[in-house]
Order: sequence, then structure tokens, then C-alpha cells
Amino acid sequence: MSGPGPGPGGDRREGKAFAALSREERVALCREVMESLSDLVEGTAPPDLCERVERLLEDCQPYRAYRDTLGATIRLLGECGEAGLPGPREETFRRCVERARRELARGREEGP
Amino acid sequence: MPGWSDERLLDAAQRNEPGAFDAFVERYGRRLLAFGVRMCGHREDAEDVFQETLLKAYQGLANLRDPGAVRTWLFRVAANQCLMKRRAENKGAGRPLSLDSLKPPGWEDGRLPEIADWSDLPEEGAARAELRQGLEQALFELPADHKVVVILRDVEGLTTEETARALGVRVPTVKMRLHRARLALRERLGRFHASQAPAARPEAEA
Repeated sequence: MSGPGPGPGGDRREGKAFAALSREERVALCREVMESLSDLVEGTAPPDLCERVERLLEDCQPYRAYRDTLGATIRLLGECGEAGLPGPREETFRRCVERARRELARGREEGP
Repeated sequence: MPGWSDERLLDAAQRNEPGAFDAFVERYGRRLLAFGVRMCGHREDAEDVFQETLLKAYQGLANLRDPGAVRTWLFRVAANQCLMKRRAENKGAGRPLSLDSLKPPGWEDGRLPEIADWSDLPEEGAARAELRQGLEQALFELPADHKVVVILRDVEGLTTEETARALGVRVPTVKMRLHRARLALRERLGRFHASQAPAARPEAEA
């Protein structure tokens, strides 16, 4: 997603297909990608957008790095869920449940 | 009861069968408490929210008709408790996240500098746990209305539609907040990663 650099091949960071786009087309594509990146990472973006982005940005280092680090962030978020409670541990859970159970028992005794 | 389906468990809880509530809490309680901790950031607040959630859930179970919606409904109860607590403390939703503020410099004119690629995460172990800890901290600092979406969707694994139902908002709203929250977390994680690896090249976009 970087502009054309020196030489006919453009900047080494970008793909040739991207370098061949006009400035307006590059800007429009970057904006579209930025707004759709979650869908692109999750594979829920419209097929024509996926195909176009892959074709134009296949060799674009900034795009690939941004996309892949976003994917890594989402993977880590899922791991946070699997890792369990942040901070408080089992005894906190048990204490809260006991409190709730006592509250419920009191409510039942007192009636509606 | 551990092997019971949600349908069977819900039925038992609605009939007040002995042990049904405990089984219900065993199945969902830890996730609800973790949700409260992530939303509130303070253990005491999270404990209050969790307690209220259990009580409301127990009272509301009698009226729940769709066993397939139990988890979504429980998170709805928990999210309401968290957001009510924030409102009571006059904290509001927090500063909104704008997409423009999350775009790397150069993106707007198609001239983006090289970006550090830290997607190859360290193997499971201390370094990876530290990354998760950094992510938890970044999560805590998100505006509440974005944080709740990313927790439900990416941490708890609800679908976009379930997240929308749990929060009583439209699917496009969930998608927009989720995307912005993820971008903000990615940026924070990039900075965290760079700070943890001083020998590595700093993130070009930072």
C-alpha cells in the first residue's frame, strides 16, 4: 500500500499490481481495505472484494503485515477467553456463588 | 448434570430441581465472572456485577423459552449489569474510537511505510502469556461500548448476531465497533510487542 518508488518496478514494499494503479485508485483501495479488514481476515468479505484485494495487494508488505498482525490480535483475544479468569481465581468465584446462594435462600424465606 | 444439554439444564432450573442452579452456575459462572472482570477492571465491581447477574439470571430463567439462547441471554444480563454500574458511577461509554485515528500514517494517500510484522507469535509459554496480559490491559482501556463488543465476540466467542442480540443493538453497529476495537488493540499490541523486544526494529507506523 505504498506509493511507487524509484525505478520501473516501484517501491520494493509494494506489489506490482498496486504500483500500476493511479493515485486515486490506490487511495480508494486503501480506504476500502481499512474499512473491511476484519471481514477480510475472517473470510466474510464479499468474494469480489477478496479477489480484488488479493490480486492487487498480494505482494504488498504493509498490507500483509497489517492483515496478519490483526489476525494475530484476534487469535490472542480468543486465547484470553480460554485462559480463564484474569486476576481473581477460583476462590473468588466460589465466594461469589456462595453469596448469591445465600441471597437466593433469603429471598425464598422472605417470599415474594 | 455436567453432561446435560442446555435444554435439560434450563428445564431443571425452571422446575427448581435440587442442584440445578449449581449446575447452571458451574457451566456458565466462570465465564460470566471473567466477563465482569474484563468489563469493570476492578475485582470488587466485578464481584458485585457477577452476584447481581446470578440473581437476575436465576429470577429470569423462569421466563426464558429458548434453551439455545441461554448463553446469549446470560451475557445480556451481565452486560446490562456492567453498563448500569458504569452509568451509576457516571462513567458513560467513554471516548468514541474513530477509524481515522486508527489508520497508519500514509494510508490515506496510499503511501504506507513498511509495517513491523509480529504476527508470528511466540510459542505458548511466558512470552505468550505476557502478550495476553498486555492485550488484557489494552482491552481494559477501550471505551466501554467497544470493549463489550470485542469481549463478547472475540473473547467469549459469540457470533456477530448473538452479540447484537445480547447488547440490543443492530448487527452493523456490532461490526463497526468490533472492527475499530480490533484495530485499536492491534495498534496497542504492536507497541507492546516493540517495547518487549528492544532489539527488534520499532513499529514503523507508531
